[in-house]
Amino acid sequence: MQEIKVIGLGGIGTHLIGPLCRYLESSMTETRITLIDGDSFESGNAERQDFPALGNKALVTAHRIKNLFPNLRIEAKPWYITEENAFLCIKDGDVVFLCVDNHKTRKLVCDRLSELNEALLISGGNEYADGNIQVYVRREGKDVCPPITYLHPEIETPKDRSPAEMSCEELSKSGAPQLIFTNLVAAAWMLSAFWLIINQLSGEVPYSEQYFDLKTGMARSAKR
Amino acid sequence: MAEANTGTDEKEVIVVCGANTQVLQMAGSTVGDARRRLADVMNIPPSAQALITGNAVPDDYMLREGERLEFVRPAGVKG
Repeated sequence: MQEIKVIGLGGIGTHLIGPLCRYLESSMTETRITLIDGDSFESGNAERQDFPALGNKALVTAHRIKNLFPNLRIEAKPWYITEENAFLCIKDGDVVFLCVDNHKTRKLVCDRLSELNEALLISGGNEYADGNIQVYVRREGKDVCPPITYLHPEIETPKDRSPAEMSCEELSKSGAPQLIFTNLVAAAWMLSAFWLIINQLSGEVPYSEQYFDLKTGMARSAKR
Repeated sequence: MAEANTGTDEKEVIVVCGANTQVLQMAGSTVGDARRRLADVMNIPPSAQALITGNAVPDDYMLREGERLEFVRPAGVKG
């Protein structure tokens, strides 16, 4: 069974999950999708995020997706990824879509993947009108392309904190303004990379990073 | 007889940051010159690492014709 983990169901995650499920439902591979997020939907999220009800993001999204795609196996873990639970949440053979809003968690997940023999990580992040996606592939215990920390000291040594380390008051104050269209483009590029890599017969990873900029209309891939 | 226009300029350097690319006559200038000149128009963060053909270079590195200079844009944080 193909195991897919979607970590983070905020702006990028909520726009990624629908097309991903629609694509997977039509594929012949039996798949289990696990949604992981310790955060909750609040009314203020409505301008960017897709949710039918308030409550934990993983649980609410799983409920929504199950209704839309009853043939898919969907599970939810209503918690944040931490050093203590990363090994439970992310396992050998997983495809991980990382849609979080902090580099601390990106570093944690990347480090976890580096311990695995087989894994695919697709990480997305954005600023207001631009962003990037990164790909990290492990095969037979080796890096096929560099980890997402490569050339990114801001991820290698993150100065931010994961939501699991923040108080409720700190969480409520965090969050710079974002643009829904930027989240959508990030999600689209993450899904494009997924489709490209799983369908690449040669096993080659065409690019390990993709930048996009809504203001200039430009996009550029890089093979690190 | 006029020489054919090869379409190349002797001092051209390709400068990349994030999704954006510029071709500029900067051969002979330093990486630091490029960083200062293009900081606003290409949105280059002050701390962005500079690479020539994938290898890190300092700001006093002198650019040569035809080289490709990338200022590595930090990964997007939000999502």
